[in-house]
Amino acid sequence: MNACTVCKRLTPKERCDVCGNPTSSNWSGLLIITDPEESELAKELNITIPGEYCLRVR
Amino acid sequence: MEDTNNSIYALKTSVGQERNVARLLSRKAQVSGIGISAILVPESLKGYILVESSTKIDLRNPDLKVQHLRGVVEGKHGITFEEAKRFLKPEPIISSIQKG
Ligand SMILES: [Zn+2]
Repeated sequence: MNACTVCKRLTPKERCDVCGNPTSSNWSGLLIITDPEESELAKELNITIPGEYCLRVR
Repeated sequence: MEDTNNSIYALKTSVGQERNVARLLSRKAQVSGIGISAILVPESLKGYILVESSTKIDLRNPDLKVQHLRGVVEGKHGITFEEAKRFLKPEPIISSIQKG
């Protein structure tokens, strides 16, 4: 799995599905957002799309 | 302070299975309509994951039966959003060290 270097979304691809930026395999921490409208943690990171995100990416 | 009815629950997992448990739990949450909105797996917490939920996490609920999920940490004060949010920040440990 890779992580988007900009929005931190996880994807197996070379580019992010959502923002199109390059991804990296060097990431750590995992945040799964199932309901962004209800999640305070999602709001803290301005995440509006459900899915898997990393906490740190290089 | 927060405009939410959600709470953060610390769940105990087998060490090394944190991500797997989180993924299985997120799938279960979506099909069963349990009030889980986010699951956090900080690398620094071995054997634990943090779950944001609007309903109390009760592992007797068959919808929450997940392999390698060991239990809910029952604490007097629980975990605050402030504490959980610290794991979202890039340098949670360094910034909390007191110089003295
Ligand atoms: Zn992206």
